[in-house]
Amino acid sequence: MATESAEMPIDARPTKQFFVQTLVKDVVLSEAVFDIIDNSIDGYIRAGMRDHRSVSVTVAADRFRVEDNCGGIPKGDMESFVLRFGGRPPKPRVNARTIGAFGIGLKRSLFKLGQHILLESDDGTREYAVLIDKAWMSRDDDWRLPFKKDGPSKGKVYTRVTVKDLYSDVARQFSTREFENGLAKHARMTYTAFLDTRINLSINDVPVRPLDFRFLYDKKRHFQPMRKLVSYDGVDVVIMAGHTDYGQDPDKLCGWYVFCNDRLVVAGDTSAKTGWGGLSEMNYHYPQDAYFLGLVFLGCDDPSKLPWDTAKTGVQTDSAVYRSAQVEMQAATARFVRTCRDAWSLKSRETGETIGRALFADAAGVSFREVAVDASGEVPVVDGVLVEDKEVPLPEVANVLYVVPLDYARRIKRKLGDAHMSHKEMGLRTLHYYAKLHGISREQSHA
Amino acid sequence: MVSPVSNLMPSYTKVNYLLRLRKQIERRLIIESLQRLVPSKELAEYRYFGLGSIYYADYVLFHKHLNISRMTSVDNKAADRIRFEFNKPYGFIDFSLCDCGTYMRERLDWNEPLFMWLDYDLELAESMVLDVKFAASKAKPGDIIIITVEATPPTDLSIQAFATTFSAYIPRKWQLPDIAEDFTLALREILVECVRNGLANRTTQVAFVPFLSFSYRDTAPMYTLAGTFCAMGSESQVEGRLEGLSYVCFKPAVIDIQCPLLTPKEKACLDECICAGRFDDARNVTGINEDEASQYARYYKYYPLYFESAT
Repeated sequence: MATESAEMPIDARPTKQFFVQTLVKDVVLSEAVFDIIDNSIDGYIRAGMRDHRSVSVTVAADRFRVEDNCGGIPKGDMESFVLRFGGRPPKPRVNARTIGAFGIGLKRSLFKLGQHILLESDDGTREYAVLIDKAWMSRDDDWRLPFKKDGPSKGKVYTRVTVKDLYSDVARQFSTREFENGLAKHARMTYTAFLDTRINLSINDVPVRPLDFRFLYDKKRHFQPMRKLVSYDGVDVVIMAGHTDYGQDPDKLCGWYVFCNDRLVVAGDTSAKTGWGGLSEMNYHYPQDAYFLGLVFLGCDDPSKLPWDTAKTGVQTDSAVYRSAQVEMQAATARFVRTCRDAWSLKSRETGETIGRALFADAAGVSFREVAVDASGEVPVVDGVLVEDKEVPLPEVANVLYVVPLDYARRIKRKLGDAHMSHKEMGLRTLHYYAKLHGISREQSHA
Repeated sequence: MVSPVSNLMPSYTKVNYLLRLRKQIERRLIIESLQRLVPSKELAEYRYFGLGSIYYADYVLFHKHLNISRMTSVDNKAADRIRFEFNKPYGFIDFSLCDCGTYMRERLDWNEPLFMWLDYDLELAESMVLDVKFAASKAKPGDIIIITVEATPPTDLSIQAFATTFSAYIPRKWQLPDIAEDFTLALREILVECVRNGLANRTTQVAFVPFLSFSYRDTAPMYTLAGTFCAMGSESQVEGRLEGLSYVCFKPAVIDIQCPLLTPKEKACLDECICAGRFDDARNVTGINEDEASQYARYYKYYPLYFESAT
C-alpha cells in the first residue's frame, strides 16, 4: 500500500468549477460590470489616446455586452496577461495610469456573469476571438484557451466582450430598470474624471453624463475650497476639500470621495477611514456636516502602489501612502466641518438673527474640475475657510416660524412630490413658489 | 403600523363613488376583460382583495358579474370602522381595520387565486411602490393585480423630487419635462417596473402581462394599471385571450377614458342612433358635439345610467 501511495500522489489541482466559484463568490454584480468597463478604459490609457472614444454597455436578461473603440487588445497581451489568471501587464508606460491593478478583475467578472463568454478584438494588426464556454469549463486538465478566430486586421479597431447563457440571478437583475438605472448612476460617479474629456460611455444606448462635484466658492461670502498637492513614494496625491452646495445638489454629494488613477473607489465616506473620528469632536455627526465635501485623487504609473482593494470598492487603510494622505484628509475634514458647525449658528450683529444657513444657501459654487485645473490662477491653492470679515457686511435675514396642522403640511408635501421632506424645505419651496409667481427675486432690487 | 398618509381625507368622503361616471366605465371594462381572461368557473374561486370604501361599488359589481364570493376589504381609518362594517353589502365580505401593506405581508393567503385592486386615493408614494413590489414577489400565475393612483402631474417645484424618488423605475432617457408632459405614461412605466422588480427578486419563473392602462378624470385625474401573472413563456397565450378588446393595451401607452356626461334622454337617443347606424342624426338631434358623440360611441356599452329614486 505504501508503495502505491508513493507512486500515486494526490492530485490537488483545483477543478475549474471550484476555482471559478471561489473567485466570483464575493463579487458584486455592478462591480463586475465596472471591472469590464475598466478593461476598456485601460485599453484607451495604454494606447496613449487623447481623443474621445466610446464604450457601449448592454445589459439585458439574455446577454451582456461591452464594446469599445479604445484601441483593441494586442494579441500578445491577450495571451500573456489579459486572460491569464494573475497575469500582469509588462512595465507600464510613463503617464499610463491604468486602472487594472491585480490581473484578476476582468476574468473574475466575466465568470460572474455567465457561461458563454466571447472576447473579440482588433488592435489594427490582428483580429481574433477567444471563446470560454461550458465545454471548456468541464475540461479540468486543460486550461488553454484556443483562438476561435485569428486573422489580419480588418481595419476597424475594437474590443467586444459578449456574455450569453447568463446565470439566472444575473439575468433577473439585468432585466430590471432598477439595476440599469443604479448602474448608470454609479457609473457617472465612478468614471466622472474620464467622462468629461476622454470616454463617451453609454448604457443600453443612453449616454452616461459625468457627475459634477461642486464646492461653494464665493469670495464675497468667504467660501473657498482648498486644494493641496503632495507626493508619497511616487504616488501623486491631490486633495480638494470645502463646503458643498448640499441643499441645491440633487445628488446630495457629501463626505469623502477617493479616486485611484481617476477611478472612484470610495464614495461619500464619513468614517474614520477618510479622516473622520480621531478627534473627539469628529466622532459624531451634525446635520450640517452634510455640507462637507472632500475629494482625493491618488495617481501613479504603477497601479500596484495605489491603496485600492482588489474589488476597487475600498482602500487599504494600512497602506503607508494612504495613511500619509489620511493625515491631510483628517486636517481638512476638521477644518471645514468645524467652520461649518460654527457658521451654522452665526448671528447677525445688527439683528441677532441666525444667518449661517442663509450664507450657505446664497453662496455661489464652482466645479471641482475648475478647482483642479486652475492650480495657480483664480482659485488659490491655499487653505480657505469661511471667516467673519468685518469689511464685508453679512446678509440680513428673517427667521420664519409658523405652525400649521400636520395633515395640511403633509398634503402640501405630497403635492410638492415628496411626503418625507422636512417642514423647513416645504416652507421654503412654497415661499419660493409664491415669489416666483409674483416675480420677486431673492436679490434686493434697487430700482 | 400606521400609513404616513392615514390622516389624509379619503375620497369617499368627498365623492359619491357610485356616481363617478368614468370610474364606473373603468370597472365595467375591467369586468369584461377579466371575463375574457379567466374562465367563469375559475373566476368564482378567486379572492377579491381591495381597499376600503363605504360604498363597496367594486365589490357589488365583481360579485354580480364575476361571481366572486371570497372578498376582503382593508382600511386603516379607525374612525370609520363602524361605517365600513355597516355598509358591507354582503355578509361574506371580510373587512379588516389594517394597513394594506401590513395585511398583504402578514395576513393575506397567497395560496388562493387572487384578484387584487390596490385602489389608492392618493398620488404615488414610496409605500405604494413597496406594496406593489411585495405583491409581485408573492403572486403566482393566474393572479391579477390592478393599481390605481391619483395622476395630478408634478409642478415645476415638485418634479425634481418626484424624479429623484422614483429614479430607479423611470427610463433613463426621459428628461424632467418628459415626465410632467406624459405623466400617466410615466406612472405606467414606474408601476410596471415595480412589478418586474418584484418578480426579479424571486426564483420561480413568473412573468407579468400588463393589459389595461387607463387614465380618466371624474374629480381628480387618476391612472390605473391592470395586469396578470403567468408562467414565463406563456405571455402570448395570455395576450391571445384578450384579443379583439379595443381598450386592451399591452404596450407602453395609456388610454384616456373620455366620455361626456349625458342626460338619460340624450343617452337613449344616442343609443338608438348608434345601434341603427345613424350617427349623424344623433349629433343633429341632441346637439352633442362630434368629439363627445364619438367618445360616447366608444364606451356606450359600459355607460352607467343614474336616476334619483323616490325613497
